[in-house]
Amino acid sequence: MLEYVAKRTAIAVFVVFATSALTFLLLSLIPGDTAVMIIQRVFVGDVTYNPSRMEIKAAEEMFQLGNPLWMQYLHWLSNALHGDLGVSYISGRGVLGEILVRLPATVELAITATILSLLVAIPLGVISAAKQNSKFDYSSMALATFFISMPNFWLGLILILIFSLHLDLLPVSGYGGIEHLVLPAITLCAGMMSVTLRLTRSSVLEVLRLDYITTAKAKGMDEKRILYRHVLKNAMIPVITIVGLQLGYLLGGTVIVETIFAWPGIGKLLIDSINARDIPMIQGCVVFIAIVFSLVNMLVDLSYYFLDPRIKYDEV
Amino acid sequence: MTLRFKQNKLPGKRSIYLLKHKSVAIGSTLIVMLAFLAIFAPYLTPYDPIEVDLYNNIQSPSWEHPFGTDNLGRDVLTRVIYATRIDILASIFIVGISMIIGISIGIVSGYYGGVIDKVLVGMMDTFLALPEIILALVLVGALGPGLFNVTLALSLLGWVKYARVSRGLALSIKEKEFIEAMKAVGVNDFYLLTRHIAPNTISPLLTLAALHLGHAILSLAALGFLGLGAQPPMPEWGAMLNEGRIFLRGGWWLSIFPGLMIMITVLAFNFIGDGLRDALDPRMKEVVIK
Repeated sequence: MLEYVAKRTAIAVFVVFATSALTFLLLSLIPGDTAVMIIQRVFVGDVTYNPSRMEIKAAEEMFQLGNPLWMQYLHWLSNALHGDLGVSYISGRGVLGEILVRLPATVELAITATILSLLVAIPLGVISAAKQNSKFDYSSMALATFFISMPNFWLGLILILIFSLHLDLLPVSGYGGIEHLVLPAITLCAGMMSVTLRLTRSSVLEVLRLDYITTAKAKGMDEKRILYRHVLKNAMIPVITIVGLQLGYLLGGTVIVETIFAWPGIGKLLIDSINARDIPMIQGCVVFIAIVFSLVNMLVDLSYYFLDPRIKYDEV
Repeated sequence: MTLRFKQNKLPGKRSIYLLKHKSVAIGSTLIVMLAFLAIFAPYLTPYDPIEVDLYNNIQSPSWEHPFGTDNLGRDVLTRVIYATRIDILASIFIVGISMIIGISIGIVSGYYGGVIDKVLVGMMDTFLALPEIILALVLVGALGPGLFNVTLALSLLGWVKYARVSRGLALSIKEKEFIEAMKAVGVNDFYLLTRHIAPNTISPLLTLAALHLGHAILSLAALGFLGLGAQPPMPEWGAMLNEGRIFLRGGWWLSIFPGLMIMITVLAFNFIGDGLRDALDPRMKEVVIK
């Protein structure tokens, strides 16, 4: 077990490093003179300002822009390992601080959407499987297919159109009380709900086919008791994986949902930085997302150990 | 000397059977209709998708303009039809390139094994370790916005699933007798990989490709919606939604219809993909679900 944890941690660390290097390399392709941009935006605050040669040189030295790319990366990396992700070209504030300020909004949205999707998907999935090929099963599968194919930005706009503009029940966008959270959370949860619903159904069906369930039925056990006591526990293992993997979808989804609803989270921060070509901020957001994503994936893998004692890690 | 073996194709009867599968039939019908729209776009509508007509801006749906007109007076139906060309072609391009890259990496990895396999699998794991859309955003951020760059970015990112599946297939195919036989008579590796192993991976990958087509359209439109994909005045569904978003209050038709088209198209590809999966190989389920 310990060996597996060590191996899994090593992989996660490698992935984060690889991502940071790849992002750094890609972002260096962005055209434009970085030194001029820094002077204009961070120091002067005027995009039309024309810096002198001296100023450019000073800025290049300060941010070590004259060095070869690998040295710049190592410089960034050593700073990053000390908790310093650099300074935003736009606001002039620290990248890490900015990300941490935005973090609670994204976490709030993501957790609400996850809970919402599980509350709908798991009961529907279990009932669908228990009543396979019934009308209920068909309609919940149709619902899942429908929402999987629906672009979430379109769903968001439809929800705004109905609930904010026509019925005037909820605010169009912004961050604040619970009424602001409803539409973004529903928009974000729809796709995730469909995937979890399908997986719960197929996973329960798979367990229902196993011999020990037949035995339990032959013993004359109550069907409901079989379902809740014996099927669910085993069927939930793949569901937990998918919920973990869905985090990727969620982080991607927040980019869009936060943009539609002007939700001040990390997704919106990333999009704004891409539009403004704020290189340190893009780099910071991506690395931050990579860390969160790897960490969650690792925890999901490790949680198997407790959920399914049949898995032996020495063989992995 | 050339050796020819029968390649693994869907036999004629099988394809008829597939079309009898309800969801495959519905999906294919929808795709044929969309292809018709894309090919005959100029003959189907009297309007131009780009020409501005400010006298007729933001008109609600009518007989003349069934989907209304946008803020620049262009017929929304016309633009939606022309966008079919761009979105479907771009997604086919994305899936094609992803498949070529994925199969090449996958079969090399599975066939040679050893260090090459370890390195390539490590690469696959790294790409899988980050959400696709985030990587696409970084790539597009670096390359700059535009339809071509977005298509390129998504093409370079979609290969991992194909690589994983074709690696597994190559591992099993290389143990087959006909490969052993060819190795024994001295056929070279390149010929073996391109002519015998690669073709055998294609039919199991079809399900993946059908679902990927739908997924590619969603990603393409999402990036278009974020303003990073197709730039105005090009008609692309995602970009149209983005342009129409500001006019949601006074002109819902600007954003609702392009979104509807995205959904119909994605639904069609998903129907085909799900149907193929059920019909061809029920075990693919675990691989395909994302």
